[in-house]
Amino acid sequence: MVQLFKEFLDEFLEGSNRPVPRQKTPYHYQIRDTSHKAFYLRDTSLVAANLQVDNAIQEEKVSVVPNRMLERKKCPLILGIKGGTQGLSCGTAEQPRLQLEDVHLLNLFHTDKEAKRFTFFKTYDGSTHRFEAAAYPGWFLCTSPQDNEPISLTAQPGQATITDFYFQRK
Amino acid sequence: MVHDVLRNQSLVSVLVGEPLAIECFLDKTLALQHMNYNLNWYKNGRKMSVTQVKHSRIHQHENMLWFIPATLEDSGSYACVVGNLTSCSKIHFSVLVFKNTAGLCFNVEFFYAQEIPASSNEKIVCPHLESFRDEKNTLPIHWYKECNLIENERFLTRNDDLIITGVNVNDSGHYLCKRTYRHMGKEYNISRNIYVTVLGKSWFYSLKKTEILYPRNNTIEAKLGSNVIVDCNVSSVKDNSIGISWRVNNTLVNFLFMGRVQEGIEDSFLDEYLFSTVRLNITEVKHEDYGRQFVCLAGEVAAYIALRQPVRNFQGYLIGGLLASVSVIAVVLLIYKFFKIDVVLWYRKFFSDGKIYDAYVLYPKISKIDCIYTLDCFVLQVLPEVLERQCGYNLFIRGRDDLPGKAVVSVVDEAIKQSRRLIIVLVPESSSCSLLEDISTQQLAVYNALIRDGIKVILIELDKIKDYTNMTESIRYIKQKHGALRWKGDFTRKSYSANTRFWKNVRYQMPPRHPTSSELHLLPTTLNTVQTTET
Repeated sequence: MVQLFKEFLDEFLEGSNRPVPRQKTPYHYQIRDTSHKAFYLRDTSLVAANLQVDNAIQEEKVSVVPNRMLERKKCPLILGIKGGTQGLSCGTAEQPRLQLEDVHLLNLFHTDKEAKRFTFFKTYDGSTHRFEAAAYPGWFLCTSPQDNEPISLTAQPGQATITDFYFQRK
Repeated sequence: MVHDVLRNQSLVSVLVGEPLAIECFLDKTLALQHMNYNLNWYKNGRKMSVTQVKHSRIHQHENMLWFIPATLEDSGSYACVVGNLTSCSKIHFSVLVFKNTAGLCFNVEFFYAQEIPASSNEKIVCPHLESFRDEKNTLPIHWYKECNLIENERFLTRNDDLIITGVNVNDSGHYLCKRTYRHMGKEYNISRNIYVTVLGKSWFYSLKKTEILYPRNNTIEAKLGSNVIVDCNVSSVKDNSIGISWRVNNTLVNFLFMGRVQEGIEDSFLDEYLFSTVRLNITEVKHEDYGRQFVCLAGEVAAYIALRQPVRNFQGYLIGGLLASVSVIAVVLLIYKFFKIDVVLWYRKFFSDGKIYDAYVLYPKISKIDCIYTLDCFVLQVLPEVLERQCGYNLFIRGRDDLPGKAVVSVVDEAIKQSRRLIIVLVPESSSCSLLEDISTQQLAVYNALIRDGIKVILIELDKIKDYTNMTESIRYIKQKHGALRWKGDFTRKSYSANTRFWKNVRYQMPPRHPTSSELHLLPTTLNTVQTTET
């Protein structure tokens, strides 16, 4: 993650010295909730389930670019899937609702206003990670304890939903 | 109208003899689309839908397709068809019933992969048991590792989870969770094969301690007067506020250097670890900073950085030194080549040997009239003018400086003893002037010069002398050894200049001029006599 920020932000700041910025690609992470449920796309929604290896190919990796406008210390990440061609949006309604939007993460990296609803502050407790919606403080990315339920957002982390994730760069 | 819905997760596998339940998930949009829908399961190609009779081994219950238990011949394609009067959707599934690998309690090809970090507490999960949980099925799960029942206090069963405390890499491997399922008075096994990978990066242990990533008790180069910035990079555990500071001799740098050396504000970044950075800023390096240990203290961990002066580029200096030496030598050689005479003349000012005359001038007594003018002019006018008047030498010129009536031999003998050089003026044979007719004087003089006193002889030719064969042997020897200076001048003003090449050469061969020489002019007879003789 340090590397991700360095690659995207430090180079971005030094951009004036580099006439041709290197083509960047999002970093891809395997995300699993603490019940080892993986993310996969069922029809048009992102759900979590334990996948047997013969179905593992369907696992969606989370694509990540940093949000350059938000405080770096809070580890603000723009999240997406499908290699960074779909963004994990919290929507713009009063109540957040997780949805997929067809948008390139790399474009979001440059469009400051748009990026916020796709941005999550990542925290780490030494074992697992949490993702708090940047546009909706107190709302966290979560899965249901049941298999094959959609990924969603919760304002009550740790209750009935799973908000802790393993997050491994793959 | 039938929509074929192709799902990615369409492959379902189960161990032979175990129950299997497949749910026909309905997307919300699909569900709305099929309000008041019918849902039916079909086996590949069969027109009759799967029965909903619970006693049947394969049956539909609510939206799910059940195999209690599955047999090998159940492998194949199934579809759930959702529809109402106007439209329907067909969702395909593929069922695979497998056997265990020979000699093992599981099949190595069918497993769930679960990764856990090496940590204090992690859990692994026995998946897909929700469908088999009801009031009759509350029996606990048994866990096996590599087919052995786990009976270790590090492992704890809770609901569908196995909690492992103090996870380490040795906990990686094949796990099997197993429980029984009662259905219609019969018991069936349900098992799941899980391959657990404990992530090699031993976070659990490394997280225990704070680590200074930089500096590492190292030394860096810094120029005197330069601005040096060093970041102390520390990795530590979240919420473990340790406080990072830069110190010298255990005192904060901010208190020591009147602001010349300052500590920056802590900047931290949280990821797998908490990465903190505190900057040391030495605005201007001073001599006393070299060798001093600037210590970054992070909790109980410390690491220092020291400064050293940049190492001189030895190769550069070597080449530069060589070049400089070579050019100095070249310049010296050039100066010596072009200004050798001037240098020697200047140098001679500072020597003294106690002799009276700087040179004894020996010249032929000319009998023929046509030679006299040139020779006498040179010897009696030019030589004294240049060497005596201009250069301050003291010459002994026979016929000018000897007193009449004195014995020639004793005069010559004495005068030569008192002289530092012997100047022999030669005229060419061809000019038919007989050379050094006064043989005895000449021989005596040359003998004294060469043998007795070791006086240096200066040969001056007044014209080019092609043939020395008629000269005496001693003259030939001198000519051969020291060469001769040829006077090409006339009797114009220019020829009287001591700075012409010829006179410089003469002066060069002449002894050093003595500062005391002015006293010598007071010695008997010389100057006045000369003047009277000339007139």
